[in-house]
Amino acid sequence: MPDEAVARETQDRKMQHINIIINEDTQYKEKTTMLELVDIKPKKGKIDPNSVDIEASLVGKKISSPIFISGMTGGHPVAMEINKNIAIAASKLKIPMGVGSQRAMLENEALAYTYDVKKFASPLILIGNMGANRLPKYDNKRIQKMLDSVKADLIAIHTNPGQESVQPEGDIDFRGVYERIVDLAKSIKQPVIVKEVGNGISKEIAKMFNKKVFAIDVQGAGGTTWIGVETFRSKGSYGNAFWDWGIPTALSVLEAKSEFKGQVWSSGGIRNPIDIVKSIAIGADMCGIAKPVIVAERKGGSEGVYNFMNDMINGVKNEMAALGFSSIKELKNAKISFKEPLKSILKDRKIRL
Amino acid sequence: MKSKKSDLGKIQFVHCAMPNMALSEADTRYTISERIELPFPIAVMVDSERLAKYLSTTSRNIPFVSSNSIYLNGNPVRLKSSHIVEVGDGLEAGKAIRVDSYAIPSIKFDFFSNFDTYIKQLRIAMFLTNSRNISELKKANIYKVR
Repeated sequence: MPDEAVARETQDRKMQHINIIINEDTQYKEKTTMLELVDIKPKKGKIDPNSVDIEASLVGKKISSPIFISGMTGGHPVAMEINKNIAIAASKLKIPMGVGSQRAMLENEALAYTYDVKKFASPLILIGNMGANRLPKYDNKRIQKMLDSVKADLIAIHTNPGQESVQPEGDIDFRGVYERIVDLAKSIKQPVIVKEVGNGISKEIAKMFNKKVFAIDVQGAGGTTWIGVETFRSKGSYGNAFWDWGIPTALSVLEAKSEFKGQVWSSGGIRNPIDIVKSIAIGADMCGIAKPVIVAERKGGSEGVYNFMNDMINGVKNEMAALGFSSIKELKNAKISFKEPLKSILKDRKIRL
Repeated sequence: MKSKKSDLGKIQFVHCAMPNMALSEADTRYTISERIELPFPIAVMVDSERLAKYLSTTSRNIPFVSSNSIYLNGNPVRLKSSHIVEVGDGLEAGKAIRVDSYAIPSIKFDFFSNFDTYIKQLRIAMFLTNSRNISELKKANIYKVR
């Protein structure tokens, strides 16, 4: 296929993804994040939410809370509007945001503007994005240029074998991808985050990346299923068997944390403040939200995103206050317990906290 | 025939986010005895041995099972009945093989069913567990939801 046709196909697919995620039910059917199976033992006595401090830092910069907006889109004029609105809200709230896969701008440089949001919102911590299985096709210099052109502070390399398996135009060859990520992490200026897209990261994969990359964003099962999105798009039947495939977010955070000594980020089905509080209590350094943000943006633009995320941040402070924790450090040291079946699965998988 | 479908629902493969392979590399050949190697580890269940023998001669490469025999290209091989496990799709077939080394995952015969779909699902299960062949699939990481 000519380069121009490939670029147009990628652009069209990005728009289809947005429409399907917003308008169709592409959530896991039976599988949950398992965060509901995590119990936090409260400290004695409630405290004033105003005295709860959830400030954190990322790449040497202060952020108001350990919450970020996951990368979702780019490469289309509508995606530009979405990214711009998210950026304005994220900047005001002092939280990081990601953009969707920058593949579209590698295929067609004219689309770089759809990711270039810092010109509308500064200061802002911006997370660039690139598909793991696309890496062998581009050299490190090209990727560095891609990140610099949008002034990205970090890059998320998303690995999505499940999605690719059921995507009609999927690239189903992951040979050499691990080596390519490790090489890229050594070469580029930005810290590298390895992230899934909703199927989770196991302890075996986390171990492979220990001391090789800055962070692992588990993007576990329980929220939007990209296998579901692609099954919906292709109107195919074979993807249905894999609709609920993946490692639930809570289990994946615990798996990654057991073998990876860098930052572990929790995302995938994070829908409310208690999901965030529980994620941090089991060891997550950051928590990402995606689908509810794009829904808020489509309904209310930048203000919609701001209000939704502001409620989420205040909600975290309220939940922590109700449990008696005044800081992230205290929450990370909270006594936690697990309900079945998570408890048995952790034992089977030989995962200790 | 034995059905373990409800048990298989409790088995979960541990997702491999970074398989070091291509989907096309998944080799589905399955050795069930010294004498017989199936092209796919999924068979189609039919009611009579006669029909199984007939269908296996007309639908080459697809194994058919009936009673305690499996037919490939018209040739029968006796099996232990406990080895025939009814499954609903290719992912369940993968789970059956993972938990029972001697399993012959079998799909109920249906004129509308598409055998290629089951094989494609099995290949995806192999890819997403970084299993290049059935021997590796038998060692893939799993957990049970009790």
